[in-house]
Amino acid sequence: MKITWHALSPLDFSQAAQWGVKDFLLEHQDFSLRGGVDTAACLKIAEKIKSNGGRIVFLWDLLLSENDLHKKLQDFLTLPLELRQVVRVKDWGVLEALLQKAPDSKIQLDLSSAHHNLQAIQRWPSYLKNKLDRLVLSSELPQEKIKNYAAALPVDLEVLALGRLLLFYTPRHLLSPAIDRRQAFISSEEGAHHHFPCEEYPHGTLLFHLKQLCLLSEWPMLKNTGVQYLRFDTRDLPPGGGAFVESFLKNQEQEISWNTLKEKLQVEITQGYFHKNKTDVLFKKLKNWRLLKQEKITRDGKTWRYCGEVVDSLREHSLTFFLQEEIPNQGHYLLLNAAGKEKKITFKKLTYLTSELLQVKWISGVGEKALLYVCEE
Amino acid sequence: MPGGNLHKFKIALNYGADAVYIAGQSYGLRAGADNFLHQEILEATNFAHARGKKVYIVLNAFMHDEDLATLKDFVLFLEEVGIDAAIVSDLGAMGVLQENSQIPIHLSTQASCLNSFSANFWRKQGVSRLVLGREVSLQEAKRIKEASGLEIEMFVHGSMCMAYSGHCTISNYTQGRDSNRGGCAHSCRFGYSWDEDQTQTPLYLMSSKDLKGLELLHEYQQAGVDSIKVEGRMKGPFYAALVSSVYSRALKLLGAKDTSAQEWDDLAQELESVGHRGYTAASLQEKAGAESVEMRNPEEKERNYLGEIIGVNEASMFMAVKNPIKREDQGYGIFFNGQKFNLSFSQMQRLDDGFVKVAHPNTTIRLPKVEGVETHNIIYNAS
Repeated sequence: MKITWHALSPLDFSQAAQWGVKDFLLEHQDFSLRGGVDTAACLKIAEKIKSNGGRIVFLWDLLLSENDLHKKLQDFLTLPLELRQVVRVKDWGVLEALLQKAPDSKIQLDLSSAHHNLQAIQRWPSYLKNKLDRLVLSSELPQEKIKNYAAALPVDLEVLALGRLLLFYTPRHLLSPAIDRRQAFISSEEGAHHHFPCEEYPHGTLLFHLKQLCLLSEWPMLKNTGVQYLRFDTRDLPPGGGAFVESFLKNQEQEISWNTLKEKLQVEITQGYFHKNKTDVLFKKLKNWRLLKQEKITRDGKTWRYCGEVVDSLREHSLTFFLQEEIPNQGHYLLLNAAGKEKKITFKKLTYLTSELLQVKWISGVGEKALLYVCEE
Repeated sequence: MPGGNLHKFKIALNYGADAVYIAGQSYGLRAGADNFLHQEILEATNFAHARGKKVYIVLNAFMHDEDLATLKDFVLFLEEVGIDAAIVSDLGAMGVLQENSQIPIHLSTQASCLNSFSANFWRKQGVSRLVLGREVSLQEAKRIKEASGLEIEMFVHGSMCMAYSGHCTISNYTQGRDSNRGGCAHSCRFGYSWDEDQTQTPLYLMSSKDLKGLELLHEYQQAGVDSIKVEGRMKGPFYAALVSSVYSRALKLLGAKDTSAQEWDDLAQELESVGHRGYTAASLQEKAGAESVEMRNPEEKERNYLGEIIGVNEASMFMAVKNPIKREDQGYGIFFNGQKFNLSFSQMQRLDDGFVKVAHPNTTIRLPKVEGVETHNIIYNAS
């Protein structure tokens, strides 16, 4: 298993190749979300990396609207060839532009947004063929899926092993107009929204998780997934934390406890969704399913068909329904209220206020929005 | 127009929408909306087609493998009912659609298609229409359309993500709810303070103002935009009615020879009646700046919605009350053609024929019939 390193993260380059660090992400200030260096500086860093046996991957992870993309493309094509032999992209427009205008560049695709199913991911190797150098998988994927994907895909894969989790990316400038700063930790009184690192760049604003993703305690399992590359981004660790990561890689540690990691890295950490992703289980609580009008329901072996709902309950006087269909005079009915209570009823007298508004005698415990079902006998 | 449920769907169409987008119980981005059961999708499709209008189904979640496993059956059902297009962002979902149906594919804004190179990529994937990202200007949209030859749809009204659509996972990591599968917790609407000074009043620095492109409709037309789109499947019937009515009338004004500035001002004024944050043109003309952020005033403005007509007979009309109404209040109603009518509540009665001073929400009142009024006409406050 090889390592991808962010070139702006501190590192002893002369030793890195021995630890498995092969690729270095180069973040140019005009093309990368967190890029902080210009072309001249990129060239210097690239020279250093190459002289130590590393490979440069040019990170172009900005999303770009039409005018900006055309301008950036022109700028990109003036960059020295040595910087753009392998390019990592996130915008499919950038991808297409490179295929057309820089056909010699190899492509690494950042699939960290979307792409949580094999069928979606599989389209890329068949689309890009030998242009595709690597796929970068989403950090929302659990290990079992990563393993399945690695077995099924004919291309190198990469996952983030250590580093900040990007939660939000907007082209708008959010910090400077509000607090005249470019970096801040922001918090809300709501739930778990505390201490988010927020950074503003000329191309937009980024928000990160307060905890950094760390999968070092899962090292044996990571190796077992079959992915070829792990990415490390240590630039947001304090110096002691960064030194610890270098030592970890150098010594090829196998077992390390979560508590030790927290102590050594000196930052808040999380394993994210590496073990499981259940981010849809709460959806059923987002609405009152009892108020969902089902076409048909079954009770006591009988089928009941939805036919209307209560729009007015006038105590001791009347209950008024808005009907979806005409109903039989002598039918058997089932009322379901919002709290889940059910009541079987018959109506002695039906009074139609209009063709759709039916008034019956008031029924205790039945309020507005209760659903009416008729028995299909 | 958005159709959060069958009721709002019919309202949006009755008030002038040419097409309404809806979701089934899965695969959309609003798990909290009522959404549509199979039978309702069938009814909605028949309702729209009988009026020469269209229904689009949103399948724009970024799907996980387990979601795709059940998608095929749903796609077969959609093909059978004759849905007019599917709005998709996920390549896997696109594959399932293409393998199992002939349903035209519209690319969701969730895929953040922002440029003509990207448009060409999606054209090669079999997409027939692009719903462009909200970061794209009208002038850029024109270039994208010319370069790709695809139909272009652009948002014209409603709430906006601050982040690039499909690139926000705050809910995923803070609430355990996948925002890209319908669980967005709207964390961007919270007030935030920065850690060095916790005493300050929180700022809503991630909360975008709402889009309003009414005044730029001519530019939409000039850019060759094929379809304008309104956000809001979670919004209520009043929003569905009024926004649908305003924009459909605006499109007619656009095609008319003699129009006055007053007519446009009146339409803009009507849009002030629905609940909304501050309005912005966002990036339609130039890149959205600081003025596009809500910052200090996150609350949606007061709603004026009073209720909806739910039945009419020879002498009376019946109104479902959604906000308190006093006898001395004056209301407006809107016919489906957009014309307004005045409404007095001085003779309002409960359904036991008793006169009431105040009608409370979730009750139904009887009013003297106004000629021309139909079921689902919307009533709002004149003040």
